[in-house]
Amino acid sequence: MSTSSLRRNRCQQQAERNVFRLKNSMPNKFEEMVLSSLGKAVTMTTQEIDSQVNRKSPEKVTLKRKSSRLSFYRKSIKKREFTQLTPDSISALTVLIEFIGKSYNIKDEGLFRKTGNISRQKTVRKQLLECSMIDLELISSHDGANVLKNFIRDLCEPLLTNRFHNVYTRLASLLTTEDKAKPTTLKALQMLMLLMPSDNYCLLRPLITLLHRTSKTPENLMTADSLAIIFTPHFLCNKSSSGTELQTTTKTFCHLVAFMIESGNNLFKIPQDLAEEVSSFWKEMEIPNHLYLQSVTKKNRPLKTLDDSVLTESPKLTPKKKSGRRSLVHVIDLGISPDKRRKSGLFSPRHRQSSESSDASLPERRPLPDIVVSKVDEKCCTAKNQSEQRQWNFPPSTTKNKPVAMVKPISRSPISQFFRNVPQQLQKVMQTPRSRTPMLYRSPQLDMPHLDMPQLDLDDDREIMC
Amino acid sequence: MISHKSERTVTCTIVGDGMVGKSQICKTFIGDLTIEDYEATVTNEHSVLTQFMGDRYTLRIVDSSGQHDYKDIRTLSYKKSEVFILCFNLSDRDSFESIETFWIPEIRKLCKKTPVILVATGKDIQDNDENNNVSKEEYLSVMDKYGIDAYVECSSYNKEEVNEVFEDVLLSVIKSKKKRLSNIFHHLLAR
Repeated sequence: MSTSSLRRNRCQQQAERNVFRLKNSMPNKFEEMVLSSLGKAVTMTTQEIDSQVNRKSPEKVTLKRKSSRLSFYRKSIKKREFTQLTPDSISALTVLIEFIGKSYNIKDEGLFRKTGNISRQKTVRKQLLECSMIDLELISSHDGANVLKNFIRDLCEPLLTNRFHNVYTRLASLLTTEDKAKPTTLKALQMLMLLMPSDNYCLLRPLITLLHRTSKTPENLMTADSLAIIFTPHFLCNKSSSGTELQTTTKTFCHLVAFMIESGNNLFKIPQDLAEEVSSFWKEMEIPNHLYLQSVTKKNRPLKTLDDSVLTESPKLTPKKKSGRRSLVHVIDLGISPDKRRKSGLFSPRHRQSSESSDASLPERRPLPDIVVSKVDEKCCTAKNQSEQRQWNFPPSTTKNKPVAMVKPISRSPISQFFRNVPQQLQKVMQTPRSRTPMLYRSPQLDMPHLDMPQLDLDDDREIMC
Repeated sequence: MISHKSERTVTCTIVGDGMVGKSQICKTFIGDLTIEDYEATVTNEHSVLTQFMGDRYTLRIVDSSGQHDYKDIRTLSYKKSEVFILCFNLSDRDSFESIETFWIPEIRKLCKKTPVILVATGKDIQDNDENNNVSKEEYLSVMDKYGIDAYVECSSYNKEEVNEVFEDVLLSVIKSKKKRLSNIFHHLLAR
């Protein structure tokens, strides 16, 4: 039991790391990925999901206000100051959240529901907005809870943002109509959490944890439903909608928020299929044809045994490689003797770029990072098309100066045995990044406009090799 | 039936801070004997038939949310209501203070002349901390200050005391009707 949970934990950590790395380095790609799997989960198209409510709603709102609202309403709206989520305010709020979460505070009856002292709250709010230290000794837990609540209320957008309002509506209706919908709802929510702006995420995560703990503490008499009723307007309801609208929307959204509070920390886990997708994307980035390779090896022989035999038979072959798969890719090149290729006439003689023989006239081209991303999808086409075959995705730069190619080919290694079975067309696809020298002659990227781009890289390379 | 108006509908709204016992008052009045729950209210409406001074009345009680943030929903029913029942808890000073700072301003902003009845709940509970308890003088002074028509002390679970609250509600409605009529008379006579 404990080992399996431990393993799951480690998997989750790894997935989290992968996902956040992708989110921070390639936000567009990440968003596209999550949106598509979210669309699958809730059976909505991407356009429906990303409603861009923010773009349309302001016009509607202004119109409505002019027509139906009375003068005193407009005044009160003007008066209201919007609070803003900044790293400073978030850190101040986290202090507050910690304070409320203390064991003697969380047991207070009616936490979040009672109003507390308003004049004390005003001073705390002032301190909060000025980002000065909050005097926690003076205030009660109710005061703290209300300051927190009011701060979220006064944000110009609901905490879960307007952008995915359609999805939340859909999920809320799903949850009320069907009992079985819980796993899908949770999955969709997890993805929505990932799509949130990072500031909102940073605040929501400790807040949900706190609310979850509050609902699990029987002394304070607060259930998840009660907490949901209190927090729904702040989380989801559009700030500009009128009272009657709110009355209907809050009721549906309450279930969703209650569900969020009940699931607690599970809300911020990475759904499994997304984790798999992201990790395969990263593998793809490391080894360009990983997926293709996998499909080939699956047909022929299990990959694992191959790896093991390589490692045991020829430890020299893979001096510093961490992953077995990567070593496999390098070895392929050695397995096929260069003579054979020369005979076949497809390839020109190889130029090995070692310290002695490096040819200065040959500019070494590395694809730009975003080109790599776009080319990943084309990996399957490369086998068919001779000219496109030249476009290779190289491994990350950390592996570039490892002297794999210095080792003699093993004539009867299991790998070479294995690759003899693979048809010639496929072998080319599985070429290693190390063997790029012969390809450089015909590389279409030579004709690309960014001729001066990888110059730096080249210099680096030669320095290290010398 | 002697009365020419055999049945009249009176709408009243219960307001007050969260967890002072607003919903419990409604429940006790209706005779709903379900087990007490501690769930926050968004809005609830109850209709009750009662007799008062020989007349039959339909009381429409709007049980509103004590959360200050539900202002938009709560104020929907303000315009229609003829009386407000403003609750606070005797053993919770905060709920008493927010009457002055929050509730009376909110009511008076929308309904300038609607009668308000002050209800002190939790008569049976005493907080251990003396400072937390609200004394009678304090809320009498608040009553004078804001022109509140009546006050009742009750425990939300005591049927008789809760009935008293709603008798006061009807009484104040009748009074305010009379007042309005006499005001019109005065106006006419003055001309």
